[in-house]
Amino acid sequence: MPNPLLTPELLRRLEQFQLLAARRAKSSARGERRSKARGQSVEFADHRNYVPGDDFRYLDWNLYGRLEKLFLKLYEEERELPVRIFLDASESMSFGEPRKFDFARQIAAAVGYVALCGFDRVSVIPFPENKDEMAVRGALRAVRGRKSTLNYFQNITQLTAKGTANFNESLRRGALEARQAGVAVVLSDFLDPAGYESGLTALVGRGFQVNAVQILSPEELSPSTFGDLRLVDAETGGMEEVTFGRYRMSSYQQMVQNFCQRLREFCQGRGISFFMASSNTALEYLLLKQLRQAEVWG
Amino acid sequence: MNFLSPFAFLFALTIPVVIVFYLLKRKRVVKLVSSTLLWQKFLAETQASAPFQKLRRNWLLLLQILLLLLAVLALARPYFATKAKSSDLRVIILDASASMQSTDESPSRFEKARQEALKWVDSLREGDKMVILQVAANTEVKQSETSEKSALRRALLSCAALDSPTRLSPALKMAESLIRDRGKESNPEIHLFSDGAVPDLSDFDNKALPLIYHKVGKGANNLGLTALDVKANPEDASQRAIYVSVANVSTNEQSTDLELRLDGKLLETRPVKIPPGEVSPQLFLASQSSDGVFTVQSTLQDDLAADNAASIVSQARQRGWTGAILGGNGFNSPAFIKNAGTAAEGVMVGTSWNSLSQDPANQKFLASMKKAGVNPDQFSAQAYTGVIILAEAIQRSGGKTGREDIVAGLGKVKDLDTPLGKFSFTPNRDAQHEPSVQQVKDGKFQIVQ
Repeated sequence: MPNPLLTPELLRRLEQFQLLAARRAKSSARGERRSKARGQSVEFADHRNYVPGDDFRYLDWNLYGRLEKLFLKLYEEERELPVRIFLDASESMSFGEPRKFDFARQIAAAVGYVALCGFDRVSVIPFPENKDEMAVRGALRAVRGRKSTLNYFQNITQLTAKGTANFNESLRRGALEARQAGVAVVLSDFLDPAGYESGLTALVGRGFQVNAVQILSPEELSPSTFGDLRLVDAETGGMEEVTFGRYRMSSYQQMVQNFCQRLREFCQGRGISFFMASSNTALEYLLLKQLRQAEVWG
Repeated sequence: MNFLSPFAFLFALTIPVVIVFYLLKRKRVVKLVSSTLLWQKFLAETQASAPFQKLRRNWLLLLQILLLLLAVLALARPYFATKAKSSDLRVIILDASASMQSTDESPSRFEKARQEALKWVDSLREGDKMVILQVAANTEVKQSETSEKSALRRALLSCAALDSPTRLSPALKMAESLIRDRGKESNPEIHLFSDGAVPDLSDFDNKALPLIYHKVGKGANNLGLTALDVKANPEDASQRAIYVSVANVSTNEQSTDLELRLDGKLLETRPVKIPPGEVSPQLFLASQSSDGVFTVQSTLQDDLAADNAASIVSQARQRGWTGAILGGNGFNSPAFIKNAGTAAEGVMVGTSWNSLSQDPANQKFLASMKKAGVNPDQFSAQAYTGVIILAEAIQRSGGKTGREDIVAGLGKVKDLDTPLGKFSFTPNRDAQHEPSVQQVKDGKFQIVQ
């Protein structure tokens, strides 16, 4: 299986993981997750009084023998865990060496793969909308089952980063669209002039367990272009005149650290797992070590 | 270094304008970035110190500011103070005679003189004026009175050495007339740039021109009296102390005799020896029984005669001497009036020749002198008369030219019509003719009746 996103070695390692949901699944579809719903599984949940029409097969005959009353045995229904991956596919993600978007797609593929292996439903929501990729994006709206991984990977590969994103708006809509809350993974550079607060708050408010991964390129962390620059924003077209020299590098880096630190603190305050990754970070380190330690999966 | 227009330093206030221009007009490299969000934050954080950090290590800006500073400095018109006295008017006389073409100075005496003169133009202060005269056989006004340096420089550059002798007198006269009209508070100066090869300065012997002689050329020798002052002798009130400075500006040791005269009467002769380039102060002590003019003269024949004699008639008037001044024979010349100027007014001189006499013999003499182009003085008239008397004596002795015949003939001369009047010899062989006393009035000799 030739796969430009993830190496077979990595896939084998990822198969062992399962997304850890702090809350019980609320999905209506059956899956492999414990839920509050009663249904068919091997896990006993409770007894209840028999009412006419109940299936005799679930009567607890042992209890009837002792109490001469009819009780019905209830089992936990195992439901699926909806995993929504918010993938920033704006123009700004197409920068960096390696490209931030490539890195984000690899994470999306890995998270999706873990979810699919655990019989969870995966929705990839790239934003902003791109009418040229309607088919691909439609196919990524709801992916289930391990057999879908190949298609899933292919579709993710075909995504492109283009246009101007409205981070907050996209996340709010994604939160409203979801029929059930679940795990949300936000893959973005969080460089939106309008901020990121209201989008993340909307996801948390909808009941999602949110994992945010901020992806920045090495160039953004420590620029290598000096001199008198007229910087053009790829998304907004806005211009910024900057005179930048090596002597200001440290203050720039300090500023980036402050920016990330504010985002981290915002996330911590709302129970959001936050990761910051440069796009040249080793993927294995992030997936197998950082996410595992943070108990995103295990 | 000083500045003629120090207020021009206010132009330095334009430097911030350059900086502003620099901040505004900056060529920037356009670069597409993922997002300017981080940069906006970066700028916001560093905004306080940003404008000046932008200027760091900016050679272009430094160069521009340097240029501007130089321009401001130029506008402030810096000058180096020289020893020049401040002067309202300076008359520059540039000798352009043939001798100035000699090349003992590099590239030539004339060029050297021109450079010297240009330096004086450069050191001209604001408001001071300058006149440039070029003198050779003719005197040419190259630049009339102006304070505009560029015009003065242009005039100096337009001067050129000519193949003609120097006639300095007309130039000095012109310079004198230029400075005569200046008020007392002004300090007019005449700067003569010459090699000293000028023959005819006898007219200026008795004068107090503020002449500063800039010597050009190495070979010439000149010994000059640079100062003359008369004071009462502090030790003996009946005596006068006369202080004289004799400067040797040549490259050889010079010896001369200094003659001290009172009203032309020789009082003392003193030999002096002056090493090259040195100034020798001399002190004469003389008793003065009557009012008169002390004259000190160097007997050495040198290249520039104008400064050998210093007269103090002018100084006496300038120093407030209002009493009568009686002059001797030496005063008896139209040149005296010219040289002493207004100071000559009222000076009385005994004379044997009345230039204004309407006597036919005198008129004839004046006419023939005018024909020869000579402005006659007493000595001309006396010489002329001498020849007439001699001719008369020869005639009276019957045309014989022997020694005894002429002596006899002279004795017979009686009431001869000469420019000096009716002339006879007394039995004691004294000349007898009508003497007259002249007084300078309105710049002319008038007979005192």
